[in-house]
Amino acid sequence: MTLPFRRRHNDAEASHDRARALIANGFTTPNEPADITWLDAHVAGCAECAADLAAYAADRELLRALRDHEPEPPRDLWARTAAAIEQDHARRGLGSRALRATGSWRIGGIPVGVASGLLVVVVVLGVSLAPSGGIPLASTPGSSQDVAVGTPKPDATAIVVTAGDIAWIQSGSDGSYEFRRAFVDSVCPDVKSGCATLGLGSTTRINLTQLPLAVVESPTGSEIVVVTSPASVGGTDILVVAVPTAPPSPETTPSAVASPETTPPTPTVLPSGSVEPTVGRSIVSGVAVVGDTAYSPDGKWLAFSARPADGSAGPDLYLWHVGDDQATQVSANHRTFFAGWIGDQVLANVVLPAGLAADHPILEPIEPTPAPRSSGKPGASPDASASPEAPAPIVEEHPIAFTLDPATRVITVVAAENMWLPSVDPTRRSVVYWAGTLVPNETGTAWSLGEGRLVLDGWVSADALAPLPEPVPSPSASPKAKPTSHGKSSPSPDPTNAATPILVPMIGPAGHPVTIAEGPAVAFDSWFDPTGLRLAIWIADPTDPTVGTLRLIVLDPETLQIDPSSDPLPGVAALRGVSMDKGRLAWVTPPGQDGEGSHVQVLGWHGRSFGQVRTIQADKLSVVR
Amino acid sequence: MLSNGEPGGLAITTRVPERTRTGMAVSDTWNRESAGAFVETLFAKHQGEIFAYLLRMMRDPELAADLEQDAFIKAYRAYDTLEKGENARAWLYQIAHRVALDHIRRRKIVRFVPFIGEEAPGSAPSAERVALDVQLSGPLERAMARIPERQRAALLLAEVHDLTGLELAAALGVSHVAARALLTRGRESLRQALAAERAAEAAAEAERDIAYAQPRSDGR
Repeated sequence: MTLPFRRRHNDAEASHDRARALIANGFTTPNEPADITWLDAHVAGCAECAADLAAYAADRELLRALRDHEPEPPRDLWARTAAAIEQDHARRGLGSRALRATGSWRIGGIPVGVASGLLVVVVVLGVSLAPSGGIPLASTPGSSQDVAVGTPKPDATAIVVTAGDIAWIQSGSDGSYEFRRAFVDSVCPDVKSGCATLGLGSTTRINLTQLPLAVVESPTGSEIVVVTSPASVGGTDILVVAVPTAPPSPETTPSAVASPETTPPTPTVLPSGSVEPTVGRSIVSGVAVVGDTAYSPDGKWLAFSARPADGSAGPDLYLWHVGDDQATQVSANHRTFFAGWIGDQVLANVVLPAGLAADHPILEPIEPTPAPRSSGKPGASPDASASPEAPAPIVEEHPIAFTLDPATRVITVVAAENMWLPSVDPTRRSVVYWAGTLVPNETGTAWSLGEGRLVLDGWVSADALAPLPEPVPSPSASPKAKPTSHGKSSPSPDPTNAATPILVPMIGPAGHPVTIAEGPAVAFDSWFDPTGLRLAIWIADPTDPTVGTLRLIVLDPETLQIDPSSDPLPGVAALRGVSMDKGRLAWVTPPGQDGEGSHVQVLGWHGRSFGQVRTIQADKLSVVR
Repeated sequence: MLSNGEPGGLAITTRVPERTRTGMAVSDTWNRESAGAFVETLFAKHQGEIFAYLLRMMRDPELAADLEQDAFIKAYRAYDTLEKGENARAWLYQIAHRVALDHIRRRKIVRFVPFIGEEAPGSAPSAERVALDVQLSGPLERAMARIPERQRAALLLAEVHDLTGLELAAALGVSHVAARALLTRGRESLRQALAAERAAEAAAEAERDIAYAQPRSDGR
């Protein structure tokens, strides 16, 4: 029968399609008698369909043969599952008393469960911090809580690693928040074996009303920068708080924070044993911090980007010179994003609108211009959809990366197009970035990732090629500069002077990008360890950008290419905000994993040996970067 | 004590709480002991087949183990939602299937590009891993990986795990008709994918033959 409203290739193909459908269906449920008759007749005259019939039967037998090969699940799967269920039970407030009263589940007579995890006593140093609206807490020395847990497994051998401290913020039992520090000297091949624990740490009580958006530790370890969660009005604050440095000991006393603050909101810090509260510092307030916040490697500067709390404009770059009262807004174009540091240079992005004059200074204000409308593809004619009635798509925009000397404000444009949020490894040999375009929102105050991919490439460093020129206060265009899409450059010597050597810094990717990730990503973060041979990539889940997938990539020390034989963290769920340092990567697991709350999870390594260790679960955690 | 199970299915004997009109279990009949015992029994009976199902869906033993753990945790939490007389095995497959699909959905959104040369010589996989890799790397497994996951699930559950039509529909969370349609489409997809795999294998073998024959043609 020919269906009148359905387009067919031709009658013969339609018959074959029907035959194949009936053959396939026949293996699931008996066909109708009329269909069987038709199929038999068709197959008798169709060698191709007869072959299909045989193929279906053979494929089915092949599939059913899998029943004879049932793979063995891991032997410890029940132990892991039972422990996770116990933790889930306890975490949901159902208590563990019932379990003990009824007896732990047993396998082979051996009780399993995580309740026997090791307890590590920590020393409370009693520093309290109160943000806007918060109530200062007195210090509560003597509080002790376990730091790491696991199900002890005698046959698991810990791996000794050379990682240093890790720190995190977590909610305490009384609802307050604590800054905790611990050191990682050994990890387990399997985190669930619990063969190693985090070392003795310190606890500093911080009175926050909400978990901060981010916490960054200074390279000296003497202070942390807290990016508070946005209040209902007034935006976020960036607070500088003194903390005890590692190694912790009961005698450790946090150094007092200078410059008493008079303008609320201010944090209140109570050093251990202190009666008078020492007031912390707010270096910026009433803004919305955008992206990462990071100290320079020498600890002299802090950089971040932020926009007005009311969202009326896009982000600008801010710098805080450690010791100053306030952070300084460096750019005024409302289109600048902090990306990271390369040595003592800030690495940042600016998203310039199409059609801007090539010699327009990067950081200067940009007159708002009507966004050109086109077919939505870069390079398309702006007049293509000039009609005001047409719902024209927004044109994609192109990011430019540049470095900035925080002291002299000299700018050097990176020789690459569409390089977004680059992260250059500390040894300046590799870079990872989003190679693609950006899509502005309706008001032009925020951008999302457009077409592109996340790539790893070599990094060509300026100081490896030529000395930097003398700095001048404001950048200007130069025909000798490495050309970019907008012709921006760093200051350069007079090109007419033939005796002057070329001193134009040339920095940028080597031009051999390797794709790390692709797809409809909404956000990502990337970090190198100090050796530049370990790269952590976090990509946000579009359905919930606070959660993402974290992967550690190992680079070959000779070629700096991805080492495919080592994949120690092929992709785990992690909350945003990862801490990468010597010999370890730390992140916060999303609640609900394995039926548990969040943990600070640490992947530690020594050479090619990798293992993990984690903290106890808590409802709210934020790892300190 | 109630017996959950259909003829032909594996019966799970446990106590299921009485239910209220809202579908919620009466609170004082749910307790940890019964939920734990139920899940433990369920695990003892079905851990192997659930692992096999998840492994064939995901082709990654570690991931399959993690997902199986998640599935049993969810079963523990949802113990009181199991209806009287409901087939516990099909119910467990339904949970495992949802856990697998959730993971696949998440992985589709965030896609890391595979390293070139993964599983390269130099790494020393365990004997178990080697055995599993062999099982997971044949033409059938590769073909199964190429077909849509819902069709793959339907094929595995019906042909390998012997779920009946109603059990299959329950496990997939679709109607009986929809489950049957998935299965039919899955057969066709598998036929095409297997044909493609075999063609690729034949081409690779032909290339190897040419490569081996080349020195001899040079007289060496």
